[in-house]
Amino acid sequence: MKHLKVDIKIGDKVSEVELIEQNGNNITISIDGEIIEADVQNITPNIYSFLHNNNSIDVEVQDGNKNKDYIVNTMMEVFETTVIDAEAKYQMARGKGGGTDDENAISSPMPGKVVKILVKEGDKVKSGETVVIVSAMKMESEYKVKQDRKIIEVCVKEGDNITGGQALIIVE
Amino acid sequence: MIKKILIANRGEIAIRVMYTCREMGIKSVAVYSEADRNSQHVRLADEAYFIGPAASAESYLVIDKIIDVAKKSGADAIHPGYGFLSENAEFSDRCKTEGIIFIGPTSEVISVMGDKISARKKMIAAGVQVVPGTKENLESDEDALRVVKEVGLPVMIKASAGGGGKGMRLVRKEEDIISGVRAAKSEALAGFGDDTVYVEKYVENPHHIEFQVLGDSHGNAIHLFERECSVQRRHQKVIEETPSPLMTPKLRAKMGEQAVMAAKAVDYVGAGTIEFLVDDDLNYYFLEMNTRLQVEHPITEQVTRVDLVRQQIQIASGMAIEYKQEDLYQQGHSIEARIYAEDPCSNFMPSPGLVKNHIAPQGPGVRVDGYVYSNYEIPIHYDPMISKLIITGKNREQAIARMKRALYSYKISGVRTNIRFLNRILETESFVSGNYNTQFIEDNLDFLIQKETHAVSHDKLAIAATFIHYMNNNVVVKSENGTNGDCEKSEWKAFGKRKSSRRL
Repeated sequence: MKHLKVDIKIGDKVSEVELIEQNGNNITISIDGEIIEADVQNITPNIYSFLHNNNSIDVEVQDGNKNKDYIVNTMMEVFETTVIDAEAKYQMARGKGGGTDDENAISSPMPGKVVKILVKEGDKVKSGETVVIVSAMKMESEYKVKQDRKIIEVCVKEGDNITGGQALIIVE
Repeated sequence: MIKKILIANRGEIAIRVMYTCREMGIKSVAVYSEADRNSQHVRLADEAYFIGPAASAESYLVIDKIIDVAKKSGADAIHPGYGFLSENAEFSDRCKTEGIIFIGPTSEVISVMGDKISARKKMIAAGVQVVPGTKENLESDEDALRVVKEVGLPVMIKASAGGGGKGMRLVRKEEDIISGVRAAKSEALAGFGDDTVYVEKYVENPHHIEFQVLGDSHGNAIHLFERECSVQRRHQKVIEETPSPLMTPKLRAKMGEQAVMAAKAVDYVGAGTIEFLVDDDLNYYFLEMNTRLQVEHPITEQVTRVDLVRQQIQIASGMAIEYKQEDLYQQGHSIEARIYAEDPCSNFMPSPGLVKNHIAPQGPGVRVDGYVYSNYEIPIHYDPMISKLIITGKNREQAIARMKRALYSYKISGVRTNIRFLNRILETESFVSGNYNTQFIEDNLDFLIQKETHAVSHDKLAIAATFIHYMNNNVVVKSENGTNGDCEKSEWKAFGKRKSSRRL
């Protein structure tokens, strides 16, 4: 079951991270091919309790200054991480750089099928509203806007097959 | 007896004073600036009064405003805490004129001890050992050359009105004497409006050791032993401990006696601190007296079991000190670490801002004197100190182990802190062996701020956590087969919610 796949930058190093399996609170991911299996409890919206090979480690993830930048606190250490997902890559390709600008394109990091489009051109949507639902490998993902937005263009229609990173909806 | 105390301060020290007030059945009155309506000291006080803009010069430092609140609230005493108006002779005087008890010394004592030359003269007259040097102002270049040669190089040229490391010049070579004196004079004039400077023998790599004293209006004075304060960065203390690893029973008795002599020399009433420089050969010299409660007073409270704020209040209301010198002894070992909102890796840049998550350590031997809470925004206007972690153990070894344990479980996010830096101090060989002096941080800076060399798994863990958090918040996953509304939520979030509701 291979689906969600993103790059995560920590320091100068970029790693390819992929969700392998998720079963309740047991999660298996691959980081640059290395398989990591852990029991991860979401204690508060920002604090996670990891049991990795029965080693207990608490990790806190807070939003960084920019969208998809994070500050990770664990064991007295602070890490700064950035998620480079399909959308960020798309923006980089468009010369917007690093995925750190405002989001203009809603896209899916994984290939799949457009299940439902909930908006049309010219619509104004509120932050947190779902605009498109994409299905891949029996899992449906809802994509939401992070801020109040205006829909500029809907690039796909329901039932379309899409590739990872393809722009689905352009917002202002 | 005092019934209501106005606390002319903010932050952890205001809260510290309020705790004792409550224990004594005394009402507490807080004052707050525009930046402090949400501060803990306002929330914990019995009454709180607004005193103006965020800048201290327009609020916490305005004597008229504080006196006005004292009258309005009917407070019969004012506790100044440390900093702000605590060592302001005019304020002490004004309280007296207004018939309000100032919980601190008289304006005369503050003035004498606040001026380095007059304090030096007082101490020499009382037979207290001071750093060899002069007590006269250096009027001319000839004066300077003669005096420095008498004292012997290296010397420290010091502004009489100075403090906090300003208006000080170290002179090691004969040819630098005149330029050093001139530089100190111009710095003193610019900084304090007074170019009076004097000469002291420079004590190489000294230890900074201070003695807590108490004096009352019945002529009693006692000391409550020492605090070792040599872990400093730019004259700012970072870690303090008691007993001092350097101390011997004989030296403690001698220095304690000198501290009491110093307090008696000015008929000291209240809690004060006598600071000494101690060299490697255990020669000690009076440095200065602080006529207030110190930031690091809790470690003394921990090993002596004396509530210093209670003593201050009782003494201010005319009672005698509750203890006799022979009743007092040090039990166990106590260390204080100051948690600052600053980034040691960016040259200790202050890091004010929103505290997203704050979980203070608990457990045996842990005392936290602080004031921030989750979702509190640390104002940019005041001190970057977030809290003081005060650890007590049966001995030094246990106290260090406990401090490391407590630092490990101290969680503060949203702002940068020096917690890891503090932990590094406790791992430094010279600290562990107790063999350190005021050069400690400078000597070990590279080690103290060095980035951790992680086991790979730490990086991986951070990546894994980022990934899961990203998934939780950006990608909402649901099964194609799912039909009910519940499935729209992330399984992770739903699971978390189930867990937390179960705990309730």
